[in-house]
Amino acid sequence: MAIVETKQVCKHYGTALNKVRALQDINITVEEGEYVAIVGTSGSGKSTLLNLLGGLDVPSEGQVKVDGCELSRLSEDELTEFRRRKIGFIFQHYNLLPSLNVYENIVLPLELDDKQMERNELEQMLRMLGISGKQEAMTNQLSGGQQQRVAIARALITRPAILLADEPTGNLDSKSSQDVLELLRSCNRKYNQTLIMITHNPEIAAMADRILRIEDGVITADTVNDVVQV
Amino acid sequence: MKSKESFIHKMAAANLKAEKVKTVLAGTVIAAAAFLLTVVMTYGYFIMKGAGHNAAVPSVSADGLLALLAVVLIILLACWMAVYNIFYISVAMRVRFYGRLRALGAVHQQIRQLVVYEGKLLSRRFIPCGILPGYLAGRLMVSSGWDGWTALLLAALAAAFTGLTVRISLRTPASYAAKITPAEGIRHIEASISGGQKRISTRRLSPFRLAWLQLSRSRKKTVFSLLSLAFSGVLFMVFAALLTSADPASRAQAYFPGGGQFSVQLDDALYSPEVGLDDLQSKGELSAGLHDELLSIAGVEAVYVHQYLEAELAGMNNTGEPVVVGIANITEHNRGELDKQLITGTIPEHTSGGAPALVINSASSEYAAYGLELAVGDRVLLRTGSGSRQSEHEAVIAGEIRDTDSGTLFLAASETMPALAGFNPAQSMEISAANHMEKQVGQDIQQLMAQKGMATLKLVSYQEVAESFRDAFRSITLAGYALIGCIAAFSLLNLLNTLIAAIVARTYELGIMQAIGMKRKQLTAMLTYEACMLIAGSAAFAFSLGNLLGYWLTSAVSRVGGLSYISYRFPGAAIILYGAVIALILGGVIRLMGYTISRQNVVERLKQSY
Repeated sequence: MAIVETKQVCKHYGTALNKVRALQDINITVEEGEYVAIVGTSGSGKSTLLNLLGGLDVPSEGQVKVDGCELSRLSEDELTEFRRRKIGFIFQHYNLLPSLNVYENIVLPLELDDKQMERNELEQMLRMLGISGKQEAMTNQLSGGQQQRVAIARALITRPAILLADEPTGNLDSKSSQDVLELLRSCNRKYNQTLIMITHNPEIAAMADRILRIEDGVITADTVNDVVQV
Repeated sequence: MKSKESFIHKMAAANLKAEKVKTVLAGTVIAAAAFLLTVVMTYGYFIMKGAGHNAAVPSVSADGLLALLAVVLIILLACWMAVYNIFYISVAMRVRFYGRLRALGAVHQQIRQLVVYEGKLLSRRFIPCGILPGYLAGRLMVSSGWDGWTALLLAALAAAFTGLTVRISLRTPASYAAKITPAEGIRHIEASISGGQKRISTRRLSPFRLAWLQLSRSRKKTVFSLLSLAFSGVLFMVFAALLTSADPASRAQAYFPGGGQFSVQLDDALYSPEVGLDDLQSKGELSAGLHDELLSIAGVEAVYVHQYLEAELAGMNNTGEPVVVGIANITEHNRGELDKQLITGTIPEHTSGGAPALVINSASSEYAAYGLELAVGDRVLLRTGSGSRQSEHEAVIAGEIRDTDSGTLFLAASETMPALAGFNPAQSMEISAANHMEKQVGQDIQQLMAQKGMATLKLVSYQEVAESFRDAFRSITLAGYALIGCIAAFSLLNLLNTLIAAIVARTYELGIMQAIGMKRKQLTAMLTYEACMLIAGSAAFAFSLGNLLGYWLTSAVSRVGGLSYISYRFPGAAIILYGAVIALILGGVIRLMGYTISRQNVVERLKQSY
């Protein structure tokens, strides 16, 4: 079942005289449980695409559907709620809130929805991510790798339809990068969690089920296990 | 060296241009401080020098000086707090800017100089904007005895104090900026500012809780913001208490010590170099007969005779100038008060006759002005009257009081006064009328005086005197309210800066919150709670400390000679008005928050980190 669908998605900035086409006619489908890597050079439109898939931005043209819901039909509040419940973000710079401790950072999306998670369940997740026992620590007391694990936990807490990761290992050393990638892979395999990741690293991209190559706002290749489809 | 310095100067000017909000707010604070200082120092100086409004010559007291010093210090402290807060927040918001400067090769000292030079530029631009109106306001408030050159010197002092305060307030923000490392120019998370202690989570993460956590994360910044806001509030409360506590009606009461509504008195418009007090007194129009006639008017409940003599203290003129002092009578009305003011000796009964016994007021302006040194038991030689009426009398000082409100040196029993004078020493007759018959009594007294054709007397009513003081107070009150309006503006600018900076500085963080699913309403609620917590905290501090200081200051000022009509009253109306303006500002800031949040989308906000 397709969990993400885009139809003729375009994104441009500026006015007619000065138009910048960030994305042009993007048509992609991502099945549930797929692990997709988006690769491309700087300025190719990778982050723009990810932002559109995550409802952080709206396309200039076309449709984006996530889990059967057409995002452009939602109001701002509905989109925010949708993002909170259905989409998990993992950013390159972790983007944890420094005024909250580890536990509070993780459960914030649930709390915003007036929901709670069982402590046991949370403890299990933290053990899986290798950060159990750190619940009361403040974010500045953690290493980069630990902070990114907290960010992953926050992204997973609501059991989202899709996980969007924007260069999640870009700020980490090689050991931490490896650990984080293994974790994401594990979530993908174990929970059938759909994962769409931006990366510059071909080795990381090779770990994915599918690679989307984007250049100058256009999908130039869509590789599934080395078989070129575009 | 020269090119590096001028680069810093150019950069400082460019920074001020780029940070318009900071420039306007800090500049306004500096101008307001300069204005307030100039007004307080000039007005305070001239009041204490005795050039004030409608008052007997006030005497300089230690309490008065202390009160003035306290006000000056409070203004400087409020300025220091506000400028510190504005610059501290500005540096905290521009960590990456300073970090990049360091990465590009600027040394600690240059960064420090950059921040300090911004302060210098602001001082140069905005201090004159405060000094000039302050000088003019001081001129308006002081009706007589104004000395332009002295005032100019005081204004220059105020400018120097303000400049120095700004310089001192920038020390810590400049050091903070100088300590920013080049690495922080590249990193975007303000991990260095967040609280490092572990914390157990026990409560739900509501917008209220998030607001609380945000304020407690950077305790130093929060405490300084609170104190800065609170001190401005304290300043406002203190000045509002002073203004509310001055009662013109009380001032008029001093002229009617018996509580009467009318006074038939010697017309002081008749005084001239040729016609003195004793000349008018010797005409004898304030006679026993007049006393009885006034008492016989329907509605008159009592008539009190107030006596006053001018006498030369013989043998005291060390400078060659005669020492002319006043002697007032002791009545049944002031006896109680005199007993309270007695320091040593006794108060002669108002009906005692015999050898003249005097009470000396060692706190009177006459005592201070002539530099007298007299004590209980001393004998003095009094020369009263003029021309053919002159006589000399020896009197003994029987008691000593301290009454800063009175300029008169001596008091004597009513029966003693005619013996000292050799003529009728009455100066006025105070008439007390039944409440419902005041108007009629006034008319009857006027009719009586017209019938008798009293050339040396005039009729004055309490209402007229109170009204004239109200008119005089009006100009002071207007200036005073303008002053507390400025203080309130001072405080509100600081509040505005703190609230706006809280939003602007966390654009990126607010973007994260939106990205993970916080709705605009929840964000606005969180920011509103933060603002309310800051306001509530600072208001509580300002209210309690401000009230205490206001009470102390009004008590101290009321002890200044001639200012006893200042009696502490809670400045309720001013506080309510101030609170209403704060509520309006809060409402405006909340709307601004909503507008700011809606203006940028989440992606733009997240890009602020790069």
